[in-house]
Amino acid sequence: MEDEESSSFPVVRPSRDLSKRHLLGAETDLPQSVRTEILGVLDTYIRKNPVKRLVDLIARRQGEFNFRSIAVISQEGGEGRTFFTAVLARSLVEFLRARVLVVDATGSARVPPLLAGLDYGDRDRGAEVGSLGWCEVATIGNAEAHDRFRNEFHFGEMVKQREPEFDLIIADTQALGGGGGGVSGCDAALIAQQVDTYILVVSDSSVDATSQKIYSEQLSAISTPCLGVVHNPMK
Amino acid sequence: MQNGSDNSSATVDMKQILRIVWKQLYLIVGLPMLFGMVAFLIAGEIPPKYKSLATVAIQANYFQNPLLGDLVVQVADSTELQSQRLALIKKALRPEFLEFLGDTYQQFKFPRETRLGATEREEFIKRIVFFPAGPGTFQISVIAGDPQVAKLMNEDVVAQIGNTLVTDRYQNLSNIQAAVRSQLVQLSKTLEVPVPNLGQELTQSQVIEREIANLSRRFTEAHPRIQELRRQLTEVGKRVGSSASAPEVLPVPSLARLPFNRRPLEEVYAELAKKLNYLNVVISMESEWTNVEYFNVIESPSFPLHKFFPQKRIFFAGGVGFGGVLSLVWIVFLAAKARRASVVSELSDALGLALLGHLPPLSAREQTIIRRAV
Repeated sequence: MEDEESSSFPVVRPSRDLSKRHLLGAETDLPQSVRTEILGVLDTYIRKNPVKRLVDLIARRQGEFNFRSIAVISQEGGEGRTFFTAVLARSLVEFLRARVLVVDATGSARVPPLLAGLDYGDRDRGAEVGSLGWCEVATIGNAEAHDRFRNEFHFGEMVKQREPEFDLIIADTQALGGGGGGVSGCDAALIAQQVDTYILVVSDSSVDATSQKIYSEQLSAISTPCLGVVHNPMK
Repeated sequence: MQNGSDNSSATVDMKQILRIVWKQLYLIVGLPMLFGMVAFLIAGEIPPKYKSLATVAIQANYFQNPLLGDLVVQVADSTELQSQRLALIKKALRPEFLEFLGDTYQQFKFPRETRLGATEREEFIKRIVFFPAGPGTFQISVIAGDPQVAKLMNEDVVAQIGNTLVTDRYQNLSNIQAAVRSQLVQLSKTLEVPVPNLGQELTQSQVIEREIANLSRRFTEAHPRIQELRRQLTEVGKRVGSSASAPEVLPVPSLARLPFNRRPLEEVYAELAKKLNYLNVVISMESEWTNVEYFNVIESPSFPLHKFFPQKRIFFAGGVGFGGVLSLVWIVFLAAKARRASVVSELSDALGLALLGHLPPLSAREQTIIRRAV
């Protein structure tokens, strides 16, 4: 579904450096016009008051609990995980001058343009890296399936390696219910288990009379403390 | 983790609904008023229609012939009588007449053969309505774009019903009259008495001319019945001309030459003569529908003073109602939205998780871009 919808965008693939076990930088050969369009939407969106309050709350919680890595999870596919990841990363960079690493931890062989567009790249980062906020995009996805699953189990180690460089590492994950990824995707619970905290994105479509039981079952597999729930009213 | 399954189907409380109503008060009041005003303005633009009403009564004695009850079968059942009355009115308002009526008052814009013309005529027929208003009483309504036309058309409809009733009854009585007359002639020959004064016997052409005269008082020569009668008159004239040279001779019954008891025949003769006289009187009295007893116009076709359609007040009320329904739908939508948020809040409470916040909605354009980029 997502592939069909984004067919007009070029496929962004990770670098094929298989010799080391670390997070791979996403290739940022996204056309500038596409990146501008995406960032235009995000920059307008993050200036809305509810978003600013939400980001401020998360930043204050980070100061309080001192977490350095966070996973964004949801029950179903299409609930807005990737969108929220992008919004959070862009807000932290733009408003708080934070250094943010966004990791596509879905296990997909392709980084979605929404995340790839966040990468400042060498050209944009320039000489001011370190003094101003910036964002880097990485992935654990790989063309080889066995490497992808191995990375999935060593995600925590890989995150720890990069933590000194960033104020916050945000991992976008597959749906907990496996929607959209199936067997080929990385398990969101496993990813969330290896970070400091996680945020649960809930949309209207996943909330009904039976949802509490499902959530309880799914979240019981994660021992990492949950930062909280973000409600995304759109499907 | 807490167990909170009993809270999962949360509902929006009354306080929350009232809050929504208060916040959206301008919309709840404004939307019905806006639709009401729009409907009011639309009502002012729609061509008006006027309805003329009339009430007529067809008495039961129309179907009865005193002194002739032993000669002809008469209907007494009230349901049957009502059905016969309706059938007579339907017969009067037959399609040819309605076509004539529409043409006379220029109610048709398209020829009958076209699809639009056919539709137009169907609609026209629907504008002439009659229904029972009581035993033997019928209300007739005619709708037209002009009050004067509505009144005139209704007058024509009433006249048509009256003429049809008179013509039917007259034909019926004429048939009985001819039969009685023939019998009397026969009896007078048998009894060898002179033929009594049987009154004026109308010829067929005189009957037709009489009906034409009645119809012509109200309608033009274009009336379908007048045209039909004219044709009949021509045919009768031709037939009379061809048979004048060889008049029909009635055979004299042989009964006259046989011995018989005169008494019963004389009684029959006297009775028939009496009935014939009565018939002659009745036929003379009922020559015009305005004179007859059995058909009364209780309420003459009215001149409509006010529009029948569109009524601005009703349009306004309809618009307000429609706007009200829309407002209600909007409130329900907002309540459902609030309920969703409430459900999310309760879900996070039940799971023991903090609700960090709600993301604002994206515009349609933004959604498209984001969906393509995910």
